[in-house]
Amino acid sequence: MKLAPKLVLTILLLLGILLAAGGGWLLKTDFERNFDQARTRNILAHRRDTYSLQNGLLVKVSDGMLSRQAVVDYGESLGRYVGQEEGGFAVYQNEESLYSSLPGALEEQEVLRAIEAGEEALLLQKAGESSYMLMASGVQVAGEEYWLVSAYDVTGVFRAREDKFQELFRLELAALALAGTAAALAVNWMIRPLKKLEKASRAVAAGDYTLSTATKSRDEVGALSRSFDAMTATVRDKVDQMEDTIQRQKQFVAAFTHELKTPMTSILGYSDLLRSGEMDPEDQRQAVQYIHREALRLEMLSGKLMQLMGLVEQEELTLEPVRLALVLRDTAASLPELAPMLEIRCDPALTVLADRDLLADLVRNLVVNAARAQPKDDRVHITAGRTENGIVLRVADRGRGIPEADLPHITEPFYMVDKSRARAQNGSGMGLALCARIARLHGSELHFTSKLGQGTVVELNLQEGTV
Amino acid sequence: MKQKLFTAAAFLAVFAFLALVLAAPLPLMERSDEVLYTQVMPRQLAADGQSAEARSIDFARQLYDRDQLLGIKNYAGSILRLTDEETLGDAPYRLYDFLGQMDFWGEEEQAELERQIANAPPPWRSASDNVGFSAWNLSTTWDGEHWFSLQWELSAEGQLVRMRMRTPLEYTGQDLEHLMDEYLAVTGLDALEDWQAREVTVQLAVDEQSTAVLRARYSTGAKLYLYANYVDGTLVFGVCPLEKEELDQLDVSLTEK
Amino acid sequence: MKRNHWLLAVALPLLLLAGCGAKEQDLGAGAPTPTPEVQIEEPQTQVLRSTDSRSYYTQNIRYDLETMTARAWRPELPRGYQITGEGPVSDGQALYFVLTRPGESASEALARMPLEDGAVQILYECREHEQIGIAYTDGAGEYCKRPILLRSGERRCFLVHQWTEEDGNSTWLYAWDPASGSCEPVKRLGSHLRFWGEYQGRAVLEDSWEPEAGLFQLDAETGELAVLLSGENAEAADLFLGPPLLIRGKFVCAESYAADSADGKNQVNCLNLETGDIKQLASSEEGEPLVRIQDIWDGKLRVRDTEGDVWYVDCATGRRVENVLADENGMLLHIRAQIGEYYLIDVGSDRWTKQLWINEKGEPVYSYAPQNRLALIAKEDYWAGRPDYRIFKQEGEAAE
Repeated sequence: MKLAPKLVLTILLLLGILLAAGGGWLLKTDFERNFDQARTRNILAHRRDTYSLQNGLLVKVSDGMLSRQAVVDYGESLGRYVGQEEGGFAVYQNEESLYSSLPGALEEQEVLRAIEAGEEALLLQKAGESSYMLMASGVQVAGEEYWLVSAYDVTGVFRAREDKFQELFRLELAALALAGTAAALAVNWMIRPLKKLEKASRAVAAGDYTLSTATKSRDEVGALSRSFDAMTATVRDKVDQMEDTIQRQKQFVAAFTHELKTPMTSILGYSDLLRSGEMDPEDQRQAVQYIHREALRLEMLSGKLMQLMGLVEQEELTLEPVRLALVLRDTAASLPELAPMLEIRCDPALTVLADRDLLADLVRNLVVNAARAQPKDDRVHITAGRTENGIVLRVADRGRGIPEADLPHITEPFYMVDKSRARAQNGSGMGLALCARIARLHGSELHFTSKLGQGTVVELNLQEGTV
Repeated sequence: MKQKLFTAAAFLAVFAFLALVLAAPLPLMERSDEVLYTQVMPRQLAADGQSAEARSIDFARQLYDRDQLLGIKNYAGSILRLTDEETLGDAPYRLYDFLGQMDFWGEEEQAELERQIANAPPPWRSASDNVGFSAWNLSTTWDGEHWFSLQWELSAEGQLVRMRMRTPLEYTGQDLEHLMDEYLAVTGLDALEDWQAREVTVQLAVDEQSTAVLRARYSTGAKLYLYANYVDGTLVFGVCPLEKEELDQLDVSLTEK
Repeated sequence: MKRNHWLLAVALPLLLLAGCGAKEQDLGAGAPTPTPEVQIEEPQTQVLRSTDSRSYYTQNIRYDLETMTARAWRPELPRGYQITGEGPVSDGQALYFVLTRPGESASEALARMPLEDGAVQILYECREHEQIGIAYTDGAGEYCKRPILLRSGERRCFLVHQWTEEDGNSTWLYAWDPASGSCEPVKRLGSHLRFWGEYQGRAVLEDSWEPEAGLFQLDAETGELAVLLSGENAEAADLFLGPPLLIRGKFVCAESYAADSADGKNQVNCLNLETGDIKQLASSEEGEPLVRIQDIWDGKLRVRDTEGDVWYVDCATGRRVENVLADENGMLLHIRAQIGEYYLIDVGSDRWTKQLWINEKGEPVYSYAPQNRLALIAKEDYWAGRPDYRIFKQEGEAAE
């Protein structure tokens, strides 16, 4: 069963039981009060009637005998005096009725039972549709004992209770119907966020992370809804990240395969030519030269790849204080063919926290890239200085520049802005990827600023160290 | 589908249960009625308020019960209901019988009373029957010239409840005390031991040559007020039931009337 | 929502509901009248009345005009004394009333109760065969007589009737001086002087032993009696000297019986003291109910015939006054007193109270009586029949 009907049924059940208990108690106390009132009233009336019989009849006694006519007369006058209530009375002597205005439905034996019960008793008797309170009192008149038996109609008290019960029953039904409707509406309203949540979780299960439950309510359901929304947002981010990674890996593999395939094709082609043995020696030498160059490229590619893989797996570096000037000197030394282009400006005292070899690698790659950009002034400017954020190493050139659209991708492995030229310049498309990784291992990022035809500036922030 | 069926069934079950619960008072009511119809219930017999000592005196009880049960508080006031002419027949003799028992009531008084009753022309007589008590009101003259109303009230047993009579005789406070003693003795009310003299502090409109001697007693147990007054040639005395609070009210109740 | 917000949310509507259900202020029964600014000037008369500028007094109730409440006043009396049936009169500072000592032959005394502290002080104790002069000093005639108290500067004068073996009847003017605190006889006025009312602020008296001597105006300051209506004026003397009179304003009214009629033919005549005009205001022919004079209010005489009909006759024109304020049964609402431009009237009540009282012969009488209530009404509203009156609220247990 669903929650809403469960709640409604529970409410109805509890309310019904409460109403029934309350109504029952009300009926009971009300009836008891009315009955007690009627009893008090009737006892008083009976006392009054007894008094009246005693004192009113007495004056009609002549010669010590009470005539039947006198009693009948008295009966009439009693009604006049005390405003006879519904019911009637009878005067008995020796179990014989002298006068009776009792309702016909009351049997004589009941009347005699009332006399037998005595002056301190009160009987309730049903006669036909009516109920009567019966009371008897002895009256001494002229030495004779008479009994006055009064019957007071109390049907009204019982009927009032029945009427009240029916009224209450109808009222309770109406109250339940109303309460049921109201509860259904309220419960529906209250579980609306839950329904939304359920729909959203089904959507999530189906792979749609975009649905928001967005409940304004500040109660627990609202809190749950908001937590759920936060959860789906996190999952959505993770999934996006994963998809991104997979995509990049796919691209990497595709690029890698492509990079492998190109030299392989050249090597296979030339080696095929060489195998045929129909080449003149100059061409042979040329072919071998090609094969060698392509093989070298492959070696370099695999080397770089190995390095990148190694770096990728490496989580942390042990950074040591290193004189930046020394690193730059190493770089210049390792690139003798580019040395004339380099214009290094660096305070020899600047010390950074770095892995000396990796940092040298990074600078070398940047310098190679800058040199390949064919700077107009044939210069690669390397500067280093102290800023608020530590030490900034800047490699700048006035070469071709990088198109804006390519900037976000240039640190991806195998990404080449101009593939043919890159290859011609013996580029592998791995250099900047390596640089970015090394920078990240130094707790920093590479910042590229470039304008087509004007040049590129790469900046790297390094932590200052002390020797 | 199955769930819907289950829900519907649950609703039906709850409704059925609710109907049962709401109708539950019916059988309970029947059960309690059965007990009511078969049992003999107790009933309080005696009237509260009067002391047991007072209840043992028929006259005291009768006075108090009339007041309490029938709510007849006419005391010295109105006539309730005219009775048959025939009940008047022996009325004076019953009065004479009662007064005759009082040592206070001398021949002079008796002669004056008889003369006044004889002077009352029959159409002026009126009487009332108040269940166990009868009151008479006769317009008569006391000097053959001035009219006044002679009143008395008797219980069915012939006890005088009150009387008002113009008289040429004069009475002192001592006489009135004597009258009250005699009255209590004849009615049997002297058996009550808690009669206390009351100072009547009400104010009467007294004329220049008027006399007013007022005497009263009250019994707390029987809740009866006894009075005997001689005001401007009129002798009044009697007894009436009064609650203590009413008595206190009486002291200040004569305001602008 | 915070816990206290919940509480607030529950409590506020409850409070509002409670506020809605709160009993509205009792605005008084039936007659919504804008509160009249009751500003009453001190009466320029020597005769003290049942009213002062702030209150109206009955034997035991003070009706306060400022608060519109009725409150019992019960002084502590010197031992042995009781207040008589006569009501008090007020001079604004104190009430004056008559006391008696039951059982004593010389029993009367005149008492004074300052309104401030309520301490009763006896001004004059009667000797044997002496009585304080009382009369219907103002309205409320049927309700109670009051002692005749006259202003004479700071002194208060009153009448004492005496009877002695030697002199027979005599009426003396006594004066009480608040400075010395003593009472001195000022003057013997005549044999038995009765007060019938006031004219031009002075008491009008008549000697009941010699009515034909005339009506006299008493100047309490000097004790001088000036003739107001002389027996020499044969026509007026015939009608107005002798029978009981009502003197209010400039009118003197009297009932007179036709000399030739033993079976009760009567007429009511009115004398205008300013013009001397005599007008017949009402009369009964043979077999008709007799007409009795009751009160004069602002030149209108209230009469009542022996069958119980009540109406007003204009003393100046002799015409019946119509449209007078009456209850739903057409019974005229009774005027008790006047205070400035207002009348104090009796308005009936739906409430019946069980009353136990002692009748004139000292017998206890039990009866149900409608609880009488008093109200204040502007004179013009009364004569125009507009029921724009304000009812005095009862305080304490004192019931009329």
